[in-house]
Amino acid sequence: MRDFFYDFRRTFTGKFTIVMIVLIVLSSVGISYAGAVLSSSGSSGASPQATAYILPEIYQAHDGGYNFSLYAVNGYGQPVTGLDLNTNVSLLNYTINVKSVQSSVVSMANFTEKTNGQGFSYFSIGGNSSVNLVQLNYHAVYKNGLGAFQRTAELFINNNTVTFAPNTISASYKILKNSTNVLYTMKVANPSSQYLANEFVYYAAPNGTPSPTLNVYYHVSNGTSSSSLPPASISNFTLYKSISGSDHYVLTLPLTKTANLKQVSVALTNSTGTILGGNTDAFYSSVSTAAVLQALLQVPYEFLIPIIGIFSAYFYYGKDKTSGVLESVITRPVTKGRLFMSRYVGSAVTFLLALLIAIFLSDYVLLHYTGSLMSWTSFFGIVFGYTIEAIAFSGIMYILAQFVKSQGALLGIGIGLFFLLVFVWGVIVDAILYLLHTNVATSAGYSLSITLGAISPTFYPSMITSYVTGYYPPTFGITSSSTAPLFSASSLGITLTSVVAVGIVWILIPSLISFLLARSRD
Amino acid sequence: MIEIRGLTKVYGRTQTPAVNKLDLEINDGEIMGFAGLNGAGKTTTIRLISGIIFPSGGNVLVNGKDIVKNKIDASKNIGWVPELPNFEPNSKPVPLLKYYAGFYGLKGSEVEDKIEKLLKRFHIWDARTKKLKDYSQGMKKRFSIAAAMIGDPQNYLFDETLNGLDPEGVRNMRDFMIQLKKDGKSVFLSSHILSELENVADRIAIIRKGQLIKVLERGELSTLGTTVIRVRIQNMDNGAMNILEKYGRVESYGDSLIVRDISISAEEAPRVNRELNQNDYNVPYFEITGEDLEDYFIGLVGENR
Ligand SMILES: Nc1ncnc2c1ncn2[C@@H]1O[C@H](COP(=O)(O)OP(=O)(O)O)[C@@H](O)[C@H]1O
Ligand SMILES: [Mg+2]
Repeated sequence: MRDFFYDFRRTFTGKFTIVMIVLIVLSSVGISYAGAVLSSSGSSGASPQATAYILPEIYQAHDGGYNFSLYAVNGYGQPVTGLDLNTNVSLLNYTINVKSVQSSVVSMANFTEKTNGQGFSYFSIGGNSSVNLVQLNYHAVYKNGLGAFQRTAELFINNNTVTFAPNTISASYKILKNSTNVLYTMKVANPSSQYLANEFVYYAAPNGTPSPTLNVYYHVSNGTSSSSLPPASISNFTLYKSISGSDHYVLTLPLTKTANLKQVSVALTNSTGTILGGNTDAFYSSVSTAAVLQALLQVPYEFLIPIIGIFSAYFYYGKDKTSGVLESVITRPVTKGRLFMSRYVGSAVTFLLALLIAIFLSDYVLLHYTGSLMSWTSFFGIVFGYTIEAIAFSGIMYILAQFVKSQGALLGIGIGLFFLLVFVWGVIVDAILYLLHTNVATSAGYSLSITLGAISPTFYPSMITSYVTGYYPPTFGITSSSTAPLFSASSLGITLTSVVAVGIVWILIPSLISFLLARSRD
Repeated sequence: MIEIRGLTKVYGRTQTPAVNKLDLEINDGEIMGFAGLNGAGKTTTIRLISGIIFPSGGNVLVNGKDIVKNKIDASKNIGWVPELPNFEPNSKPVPLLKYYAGFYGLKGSEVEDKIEKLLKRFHIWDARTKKLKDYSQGMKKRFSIAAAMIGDPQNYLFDETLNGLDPEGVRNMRDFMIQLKKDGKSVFLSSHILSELENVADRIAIIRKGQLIKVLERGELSTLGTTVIRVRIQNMDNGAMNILEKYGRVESYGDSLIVRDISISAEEAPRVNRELNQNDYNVPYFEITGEDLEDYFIGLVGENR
């Protein structure tokens, strides 16, 4: 066995090994980095910076006139200054009875305002005792790329539906709002973290009156619902802190990864414990690193891994075997079988090492963007999946190298193999399914299509990650919005036993066949 | 020492054996020539001995170790110099020799010294920074000899190594092989030209269509090339045969005859022609000639035999 270890060491420390490791590591880490940077800047929808939320309030002066205040904040909860707002105000007389709803306009006015340095826009209109409904329309406003939400706020001046402001606020105004309290609370983006959102609190009061002391409570619970209504009770909530002295706050709740994909309820109370506002949302939405990595690497690896497998078998063994260069080694104290084995094991260990390094480093690159490392099962699932795929491709090439008599033919067949198993295989599977009149919408039909697909080694990485995630197609903890059906892995026969068995088959069968051929053929 | 026993190689089921039940021993301190026409099976035999291909029958013992069953130990004592050197073209000589040396358990400065000595000895030391693909054919051949010597084996297999060398190259190579022999090594040297082996081999095994047909001893080599009589007799019969047999050993090929080992001198030989004429034999062709080794060889292995 000395000859085996000697040649293995030489294979493993050879130039091609280093080239391969560098290639896999650099491409994987580069893709992860580029992917993370691109996805963090170009996330779906407008960026928080280019979003404006308009938070309206109407308060009635004692002289009967109506004062309007529109507060504009961006997606981070920061005031937006200089934003053009086109608004239309209608004062209505509104009657409702069993037969009909009637409303008549008492007066109407249009305003064009710009938000000031604090993000506010103010205007007012004279009142009338017959007015019992104030309708405020504000329109989409665009400025420097900002897109404001278009909203209509309707404020009923009706004792049944309108809550007047607490007495604590300026004595000269009654505050009218279309909700049961004067606090706007909502989830906003966190500028320093992609995965943790902030809570924005705005205390709607005339002229930026600071809020009274508010106690901020939060509670993490299972579920993914969101609600703009405050929770009914805070009995099992945790006090985060007390806030006061401003009319708006951006709060970063002390949430950890354990809040990931769970619902967080926030409640604000006054000093006597009355709930004044709050909402429920998913505040911690860290995408799993495994999901990001899988999404980023899937397409490039679909090409890279088979190419690496095929070319490594060619460069480590096939090239020398077909050209006869290997003969000058075979006459040394070494056997043909062990010379083959040292090259085969050398390439297999190189795949494993390269992927361990590549996925490990990519994991740390993505940590910066997702806030979490992969679980060990995801990590090894991804590493082993691609390692075994590469080994399988190399194994097929090692077999071919025993028969093919020229370098050019071997390379040609290798490239053909790549096209067959990477590109054409899916088409062949579809053709077979079509000929068999298989309905892939059924579990049995789908199972058949997967079994046929699994004949190509390109399937193995998703088989292993399906097992790890429990679903096929594999999804690492993200609810997929795609239309592809999600099957439980076990219902398709993807179990620990089948994953290990297929892995062993791909590692052992091609190597055993080529070992026996290498050992016994001229 | 190499012992070849009943060695047989059949490449394809439908082909006649390339090597057929070959028995041969190459002793320590001996240069064994291996002569045969192109396609006779020389290269096949050498590749079988070196363990590159597997025999269909028989076996090869290298210093008592079977090249198939005990490849590792047997290969330690085989130095193979192929007919056409074929090395990784992008390699440089020193790292490649180092790699080979590792299979013999050689490492460190011991190897470096050895490589330097070998490369200097074969005049490629100055070209050691070049890649092998940039070597001339002669340099490649010399490198392949150095590569065969790296493990200091007991036995050497040279496949047509003298072929294509200029006279000086031939002389150097002969001196080198004779040195190997003096060092007690066994040398197996193939050639398709018998006379190439004449001045270097102690014995020459002659192979024809995969079969060993003769092993010429050194002593026999010197008697080859003596006078023979070539004669054609139209009305050949036993009487004529009796006359010819008085003068030597007769080989007949139809009406062409060769008389070897003749008992009279070349000057007296025309007497044979006269005697045939006197006995009314019609002799259209009579020649007294000194046969050279190559004639002998062609006579032995030629296609029309
Ligand atoms: N790899 C091979 N496959 C099939 N036939 C072969 C192979 N190598 C040699 N032969 C045949 O075996 C015979 C002996 O060839 P070889 O050993 O090369 O002869 P030599 O070296 O004496 O010229 C030839 O008929 C040749 O065609
Ligand atoms: Mg030959």
